[in-house]
Amino acid sequence: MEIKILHWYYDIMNLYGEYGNIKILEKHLKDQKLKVIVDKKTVNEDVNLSDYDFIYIGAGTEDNQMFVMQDIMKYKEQLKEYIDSEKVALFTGNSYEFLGKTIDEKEALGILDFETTTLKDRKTSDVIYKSKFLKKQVVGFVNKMSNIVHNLNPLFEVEFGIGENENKDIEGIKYKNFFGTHISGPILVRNPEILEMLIRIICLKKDKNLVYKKKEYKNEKQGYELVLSELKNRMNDKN
Amino acid sequence: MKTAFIIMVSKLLYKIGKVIGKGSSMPGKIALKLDKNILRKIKLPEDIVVVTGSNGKTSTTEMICNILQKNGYNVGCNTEGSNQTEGVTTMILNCCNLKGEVKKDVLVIESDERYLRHTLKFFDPKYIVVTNLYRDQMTRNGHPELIYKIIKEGIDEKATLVLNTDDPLSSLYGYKKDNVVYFGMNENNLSTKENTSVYNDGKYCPNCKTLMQYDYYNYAHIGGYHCENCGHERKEPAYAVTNVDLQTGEITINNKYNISMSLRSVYNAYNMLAAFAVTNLIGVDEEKIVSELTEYVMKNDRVQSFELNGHEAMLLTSKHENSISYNQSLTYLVKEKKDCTVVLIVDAVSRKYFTSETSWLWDIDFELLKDDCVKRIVLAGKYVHDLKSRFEYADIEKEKIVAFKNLDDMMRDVKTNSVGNIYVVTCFSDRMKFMDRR
Repeated sequence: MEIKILHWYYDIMNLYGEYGNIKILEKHLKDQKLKVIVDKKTVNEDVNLSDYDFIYIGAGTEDNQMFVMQDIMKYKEQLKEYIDSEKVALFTGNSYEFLGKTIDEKEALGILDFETTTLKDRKTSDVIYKSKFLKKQVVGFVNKMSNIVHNLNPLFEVEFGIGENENKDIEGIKYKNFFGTHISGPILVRNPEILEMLIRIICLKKDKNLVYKKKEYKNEKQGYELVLSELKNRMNDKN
Repeated sequence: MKTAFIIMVSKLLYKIGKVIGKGSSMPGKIALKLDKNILRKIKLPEDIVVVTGSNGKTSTTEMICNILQKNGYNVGCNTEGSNQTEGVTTMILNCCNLKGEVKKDVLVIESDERYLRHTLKFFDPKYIVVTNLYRDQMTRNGHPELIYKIIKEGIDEKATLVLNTDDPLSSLYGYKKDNVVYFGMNENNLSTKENTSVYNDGKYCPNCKTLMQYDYYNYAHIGGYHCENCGHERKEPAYAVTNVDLQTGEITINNKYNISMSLRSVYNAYNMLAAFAVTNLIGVDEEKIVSELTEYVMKNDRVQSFELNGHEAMLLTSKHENSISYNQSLTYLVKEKKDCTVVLIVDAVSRKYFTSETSWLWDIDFELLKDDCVKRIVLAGKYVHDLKSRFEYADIEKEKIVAFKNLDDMMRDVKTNSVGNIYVVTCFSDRMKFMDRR
């Protein structure tokens, strides 16, 4: 069986190290004895989203986000269809802001009901989040300049660090099998459980009979546990 | 009178600070509290040079000071102090007499890129040098485009800009401006036609986001480029490295002057060029600059040679959270072409602030170590798992790689199992953890 991955806007929405997500996903899918094709596409390159089993976009600078917006608007219907058909997508950093109605005054895709406003100052923070979809906490780093207010299903609850906006203790959006979070960089390398969850859903969506075979990844697990304990210590120091 | 008092307080605090081993920001901080416009009341020399950018600030500032001092200039400089507004204030007040006159011919000021806009509220430099803008300490800097904008807020229209023409982002300060002097490295035998790094921040024009056209790369996104849409391009540099000979370790400047580099690295050649440009603009003869640059041995100890259990060893201090800095060290050791063991340590990401962010490891071209001369790679420190994860995808033979979370275990292994020369590549925050265990 063949799994097709789209690393969209790979060369622009790449704040730092986002390609690690694709590398590890590809490897772990191959460990499931699946054939994997990764397509890297960027602005002004035609794509047919329905060809894919997984779509990823990483974080970008504010200018690059606006630059990509001109391009991604062409895919409004295609992307809506993709997400509505419960196919899997992960948008990290400011890339998931594309899905809202507006970014500042500019029209965005409008697939989900939220608005993004740009802040005056940048916000950066190590974070610990938790989620009802996961047994363990999530670790990562947020590096953003935006505020989002919405009443959608959040992806995470904030345990340490910053969230979606000043008032709420939530972060990210989960809609069907679309996952959006401001955590930047190789989130899938640093959070083995999210990676496993995504692979399980990708397999399931591909073929109901395709069952994920549990595999232990010791190094990633140890790396995750170390970062979590570092961040927990930090959190306790601060309290 | 009040000004004299503040100067006195600042000088006194500086002296006390020196004795008790405190940093250089506190006196300036207090001076600015007493009078936030204190620097506006000081009579400053006409020649003020400010050096900012992501990498190479300290080296460039040091070289500028050295050339000027050796040529009889009385120079005030903050290379040994803080490069934020307070530290700069401390340094300037230290150079003052009680009448509020700076008794120096030239002030050479290294400025943190995030603080330049604050520092330059108080005085107008004649020259502003921007060495380059790279991905650097993103956990607090955000990203290079943001730093570009933040620096821009501080740039005074009257200042002469001294810019790296090979860097499409920082050279953009000179776009459609007259008062600009460029330095750069011409295409040479080390240049490549393709960008082989894991990311390319020069792919799109920073001005208009059109696909940038590159004729060659010197490293990363540093090279010869032009934008067919807005015309932003590498301008012909007034100060250029016209040839590089890594065999002899010599660079040629403006087809005329050969200078041998203490460290055979093109990265450092850019710092030399920037120093050459500024000191020449201030009025030092080219020949005299060349002789100082030739004799000059860096004061900073970023590179240290030593022996370890019969192996020649070298510490190549590289900045965590700065992939270009790491690439610089990796490129250097591979180009040396000696059988070697490479030790990489990530134990504390920063010595100044807390973070567990290691995404930057994915931006480093560890693929460079896929070379026959690299016999063994030792990964170590608290974040060894993150290093290992990155190396999973670097396409390097697994047999060459060992990993230790514990640094004593690492040292035992390095001492017993190293092959060839040893290169220790790590940051200020972690290097003593190696050096002290020798």
